[in-house]
Amino acid sequence: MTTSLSSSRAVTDREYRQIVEFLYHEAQLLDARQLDAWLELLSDDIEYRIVAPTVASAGASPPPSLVTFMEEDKGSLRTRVLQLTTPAYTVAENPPSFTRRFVANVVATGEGEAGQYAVCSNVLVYRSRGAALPPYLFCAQRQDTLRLVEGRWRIARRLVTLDEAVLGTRNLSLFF
Amino acid sequence: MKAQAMHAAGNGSTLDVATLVNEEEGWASHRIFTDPDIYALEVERIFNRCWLFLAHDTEIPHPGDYVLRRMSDEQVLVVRGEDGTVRAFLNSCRHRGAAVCRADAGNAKRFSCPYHAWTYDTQGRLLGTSFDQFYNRADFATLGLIPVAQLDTYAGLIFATWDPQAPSLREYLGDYAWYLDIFFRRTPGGMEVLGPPQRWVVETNWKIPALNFGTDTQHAVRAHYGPLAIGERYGGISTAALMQLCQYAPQVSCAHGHGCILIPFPAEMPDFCGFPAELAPLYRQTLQPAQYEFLRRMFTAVGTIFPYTSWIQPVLATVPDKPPAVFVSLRTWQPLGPHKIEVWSWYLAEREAPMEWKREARKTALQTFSMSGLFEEDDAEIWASITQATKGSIARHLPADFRAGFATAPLADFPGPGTAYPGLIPECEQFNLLRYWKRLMCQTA
Repeated sequence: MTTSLSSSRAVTDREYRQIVEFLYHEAQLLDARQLDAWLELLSDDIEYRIVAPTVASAGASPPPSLVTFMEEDKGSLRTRVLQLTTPAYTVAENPPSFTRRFVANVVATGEGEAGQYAVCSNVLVYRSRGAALPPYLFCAQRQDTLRLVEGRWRIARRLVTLDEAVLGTRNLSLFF
Repeated sequence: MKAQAMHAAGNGSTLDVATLVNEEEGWASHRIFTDPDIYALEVERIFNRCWLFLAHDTEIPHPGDYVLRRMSDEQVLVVRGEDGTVRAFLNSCRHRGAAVCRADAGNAKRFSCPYHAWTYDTQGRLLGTSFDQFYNRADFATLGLIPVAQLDTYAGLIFATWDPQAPSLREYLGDYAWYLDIFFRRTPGGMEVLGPPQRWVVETNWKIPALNFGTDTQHAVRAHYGPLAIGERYGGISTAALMQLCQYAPQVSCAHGHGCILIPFPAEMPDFCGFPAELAPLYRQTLQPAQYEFLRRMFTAVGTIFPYTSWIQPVLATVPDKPPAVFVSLRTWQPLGPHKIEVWSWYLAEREAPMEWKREARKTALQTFSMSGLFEEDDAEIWASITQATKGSIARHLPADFRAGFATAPLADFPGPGTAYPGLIPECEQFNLLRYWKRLMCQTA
């Protein structure tokens, strides 16, 4: 996510606080499994991707490919949420997992037009599903485009980069 | 080693395995899915004897391109030489055994061991050590990376085996190659991978997903109730209509444990639904008439190439206001022990397909059959629960039941090779995979 320096601007303390609180609020919704409310935080033209790195030699040229784990728009995210929130439709999330998200290292700059921000954050997502299967700690970075429109914050773009080449858990029935 | 000791003790292990798969009654003991000694024997008698899928040709298109893959319980370096030929080697330096290559993919002219810089070329030949004066250079010819016993490619799929006595790949695939053509070799340009594979770990035995994809259809009504119900809302086939199709659609068994199902469209759906129209003439010119006929009306096809590589081509509606989409996914259920696998999932499309169609196909694939797939996330949960629930001291002695439709008579008259059975609810084709497994497990030599 690179933009020319001339269109980057520092955020005010007030903007930064709002951005961090927005991300915390989003994490609370996801941990509380309020996925329909979470969908409302996404713009209608949301581009939502989850990728993972591949293990490549240092300085490899061309740079190594990323592996895509999710490539979603608002419509396809609605489908996912419909399945995950309908008890009869999901096996992976019925019983539901317990999760706890930790959002940190938030770096924000204003980008492009007024009210648009490039926000980077780190996230740890702890997931457990009872004693039988071990809990799992996902680690990832998020690169977001956030928009503030009429006092409401929305996510217009999110690129989640997981920090593993091989994911050590059986499915990805959750969002980052 | 325990497996060898059992074998040496007057064929005790062979008899033991034979009693664990009951071919008269159609069940298999849960022990075959959970027992570490059975797994150790599988390494010798299944994984080290069969042809194993390594990579798709299009993952390593240029000289020097390489990927690291697994074959049985070993890691292999699969590399296209400067001469254009693909080879595979044990990823272990001949000096003291260090992994010569530690990147999962890339391009190189040389592989230099990080320990003492023993250096190999892309044909696995030892070029030099750091201290050649202490060696006899004439020995270098015998100190190359250890190659796999045999390697061959069919329909763009690169396979290899550790067994020098194994029949050729073509013989191993046998009649099944006819079905692989329909999905992997159906245009002049062939298929290409759409990016590197997803890799993730599921705590289950490799045979569980191998049987599921080769081929369990019953579970669609319950495990996949959700995505099918959603699909139905969005213009996809209803579960009821799907079950109607499943009453008559064929399941096919071929020699050497391979199998598949081929579900045709309901009559009202158009030919090649989901496919870009411009590919139809290419299919016609590449496939045999009977293969073309299957593809023209293909709704969903799924199969397993014994032992642990499977594939699926479904047509799925996942979002409203978009036509159903089709894709091909290939996956390996790489065994990492009796209770663990690493899933590798590739998505493929015809080279000649339009870019936009490939993008949509991949999006649908990621949404449905991937680590985050709406179908697969539920499968993985169930498979893990099977292993969980059957490895204990009581459950492991109970049978896994494959009796449904056990005595189904094969179709007398079927346009494809192998043995075809009418209807997808019977579990006979799945069980045939276990019959072949048992035969290999009982072969001492």
